[in-house]
Amino acid sequence: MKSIIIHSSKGEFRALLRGVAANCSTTICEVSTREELFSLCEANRFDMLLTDDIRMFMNGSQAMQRIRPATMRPQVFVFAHDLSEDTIVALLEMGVNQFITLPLSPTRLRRKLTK
Amino acid sequence: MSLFIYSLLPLVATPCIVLVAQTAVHLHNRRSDALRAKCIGDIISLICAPHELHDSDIEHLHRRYPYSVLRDATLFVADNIYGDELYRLASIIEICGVDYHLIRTLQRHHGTRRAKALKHLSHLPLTPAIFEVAEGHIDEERHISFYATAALIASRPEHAVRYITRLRYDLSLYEAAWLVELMRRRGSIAYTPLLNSENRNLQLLGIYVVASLTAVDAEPTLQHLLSDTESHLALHSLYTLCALRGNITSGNAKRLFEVLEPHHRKAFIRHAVQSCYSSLACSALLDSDEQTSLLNRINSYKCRIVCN
Amino acid sequence: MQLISTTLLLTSVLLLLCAIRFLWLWHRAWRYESLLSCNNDNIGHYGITMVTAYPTTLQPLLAMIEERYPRSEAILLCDMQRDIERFGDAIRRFHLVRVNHDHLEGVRALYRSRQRAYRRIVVIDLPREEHLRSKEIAREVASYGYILYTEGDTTIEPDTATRCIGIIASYPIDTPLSLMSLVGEAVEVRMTDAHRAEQHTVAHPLAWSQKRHFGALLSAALTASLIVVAGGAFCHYTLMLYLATIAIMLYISCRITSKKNLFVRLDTILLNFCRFIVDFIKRFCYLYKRESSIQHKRAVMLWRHPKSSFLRNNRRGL
Repeated sequence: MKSIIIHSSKGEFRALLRGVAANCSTTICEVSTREELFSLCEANRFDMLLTDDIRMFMNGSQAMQRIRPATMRPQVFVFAHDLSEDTIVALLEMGVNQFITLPLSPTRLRRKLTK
Repeated sequence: MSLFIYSLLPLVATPCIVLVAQTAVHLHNRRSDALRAKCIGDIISLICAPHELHDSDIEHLHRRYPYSVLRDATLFVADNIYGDELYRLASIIEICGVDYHLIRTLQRHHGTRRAKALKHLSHLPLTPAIFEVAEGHIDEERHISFYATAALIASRPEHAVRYITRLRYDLSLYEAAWLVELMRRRGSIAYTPLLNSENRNLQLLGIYVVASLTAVDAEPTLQHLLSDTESHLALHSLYTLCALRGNITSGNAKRLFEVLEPHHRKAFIRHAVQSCYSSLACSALLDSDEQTSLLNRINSYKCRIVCN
Repeated sequence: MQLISTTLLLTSVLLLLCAIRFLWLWHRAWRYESLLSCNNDNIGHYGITMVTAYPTTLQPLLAMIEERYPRSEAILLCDMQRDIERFGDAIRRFHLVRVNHDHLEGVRALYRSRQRAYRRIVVIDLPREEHLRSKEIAREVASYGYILYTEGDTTIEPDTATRCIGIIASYPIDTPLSLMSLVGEAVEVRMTDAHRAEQHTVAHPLAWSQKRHFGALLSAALTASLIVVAGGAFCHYTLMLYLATIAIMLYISCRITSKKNLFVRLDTILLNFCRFIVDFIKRFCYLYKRESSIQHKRAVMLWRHPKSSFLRNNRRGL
């Protein structure tokens, strides 16, 4: 049973991802702020993080170290409308596992989550 | 005493008015945000359900939520997903009457509200009903006409070129970006016929597509566009060449650069340096005075680390 | 006494009418701006450089880094020698290195980042004595075509860069254009390279939040109470009118301040109210001027809907 954490400041986006990830034999946690995300990641181990907050990784707050305090888990999936090459490469350098451009395909995302 | 009351009353009353008003607005926003999130969750569970979708399920959705929440939720979902699920979303939109309500809004209102309704309609998937409605608003004010064209392209993407040719004004960059994104969602775009057409709007769209896809094959066509130094598209072709990391020191580019205004020259060199062109490439375009400032700028970008 | 009360009555009626008309224009411009929502993708080659000069904390810079528009950068101007405790940490945090800055007179050091993720951040160490040249220096260092200059602790609202670029890109291509906030701090977005006389200034309701200390709150409250005392002492009608005017102006201030923080906005509201009065009177004096020279177009355009000023540009074939 995979454990997924969904982070977004927009309630609608969290609802969208939760709807897609539901019934995928996963447990889902939702957080809306960065501080909640960091404290939850420090307390528990998750398999995946789905987030739309790019700038969290690019504002010098050592977000990746706080999300992955000990191991290489959780896998980080970032969603954005951006198509800028610089942003994508910068995120990959920061350790993001996958960059998913919006609009997303629910079928493909479910396949990724259940893999 | 009365003076004291006069001065005290507004000072006390106005913060109270403000705080009460802000609290009310905040609570209302929070409630509608929660309702919208719930509606999105219900829509997603319907469109991702493995079984066949029944009208009764959608009717149930229709009864639970008011029209404004349904409209915002379906627009959000339509913006953020693609694929087969869009067909199910289209049937939800049809049964809940979201498109019908939007058409009524645009018929009842004018100006910005009409343009916004047309914009929303162009976001919705697969609603042929918008075609007749949008056609009637092509000849109105600029922003209404633009979003009506966008709605037409959304309903019949195969005729996109024809609808854009009918526009009587030059597209701004925001409109070009918007149309390109719309056309990309509705189908694939070939940039070659756009770049080779005579219509300025189509050429601008072609340049935009080349820039967003970084299609290096289009470089010869862009070089050719640079030769017409009068055209406003020439400068955009130059910037797009930069984005493709193409040759900005060709004969056409040099001739165009010579006729540019000083501030355009400066702006372009700034852009070229930021795109990591070397001093050799950029200095071929400039005269000796400008070359010194250029070299200094490039040196600071190339991070010549100062070890003091 | 009668004369004073009549004058106050007329002033308050005038202010009220101006406030209502301003609110109406602002609401129309806001609705027009809400049409222009873009998905944070690049729009052509347009980019924006955001500058914060001599803030007291890193907060303004962090707010600028949060901008999602890809072609944006954040420049911090500070005096490292005086504020080393506050800003020395930024160098370590963003992996900044000192780079070549010979072409910039008066600048002690220029820092850029080694890491790709922080490449949008630039720090300029400019001594306080040279602060008058800070705009010129920022313009020299800026990488993008539009520059937003803020001073002190002015913090920009979220998505400011995207909104600014959306507005700028909706005008005809390469119109020399600058944006100005309608209320509060007179912050502008200008072209980095354009010749000053060529710029058309368009006023848009860009909301800026202002972090100020308690002293400003006190002075704002004092100003407000003086206005009320002066007016309310004379006439009941005047008092009612003042109440109505204050209520409307505070409503305007509420609408343009951020909806996120509920109870901490009172100082911003009161400060905006006082600034609004001052700005209003200044701009109202320009209202009926008929100069056609470019320098004064900025005042005349304040009272036009952005759509109509765009059409005017189009007819001139820009």
